[in-house]
Amino acid sequence: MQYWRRILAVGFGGFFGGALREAIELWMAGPFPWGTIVINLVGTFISAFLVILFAHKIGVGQITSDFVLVGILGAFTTFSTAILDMVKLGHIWPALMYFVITLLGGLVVVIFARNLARKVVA
Amino acid sequence: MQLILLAGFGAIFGSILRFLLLELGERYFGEAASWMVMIINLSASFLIGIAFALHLQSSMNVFWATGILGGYSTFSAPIVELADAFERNERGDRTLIEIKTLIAFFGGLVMLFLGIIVAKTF
Repeated sequence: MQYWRRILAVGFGGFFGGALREAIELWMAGPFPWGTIVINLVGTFISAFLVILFAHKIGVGQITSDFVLVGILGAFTTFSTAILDMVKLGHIWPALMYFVITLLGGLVVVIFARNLARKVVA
Repeated sequence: MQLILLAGFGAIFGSILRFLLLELGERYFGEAASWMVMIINLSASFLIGIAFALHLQSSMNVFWATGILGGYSTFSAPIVELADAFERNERGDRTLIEIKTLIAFFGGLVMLFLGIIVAKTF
């Protein structure tokens, strides 16, 4: 029974994550695929921030954690679309720029989110 | 609005599949379970290559590629793993995670092209 509740929580959260991602993609549509970059960096930031917040400040149950972290944020961020964006760019330099922004940006937001979260929970 | 809902519906299935595979990994593969995210992201890249090559109609593409595969694959997990390795800063472990990150991105590109080839062949 508990397991079914976890699966439902992930699926329900996934709906919101996927829908929000498409809304941002439509809103940010343009010649350079900034949409996915922004989605992945914002999603990673919130995810890294909430992991610390949930663990040290707000005690949340397994179901809530599954709903928010695995469902909403897991479905909001995406790997496959990022790879497809790089291929669609069609040239090595814009694709490399996309890769570097995504990778380094991802690292920076995780570190920034964790520092901020540690200050909040301190 | 219809596209946003379609992406959300697709992401329900993608998220649940990701959750089940990660749970399966944790339960049966012990240490090796950390490679499950890699399997998920590489298989998603392969499948999105197929979807891309099939030139699906807009709503079909949003449901399958943006929704299901976007919700199935995840960006935050591998980046958080990389950031963890930088924070711990143990040499061997950090090198392994750095190599893993490169495998994810370049392997993702290879798998996507493989998906395109498979779709065009069959």
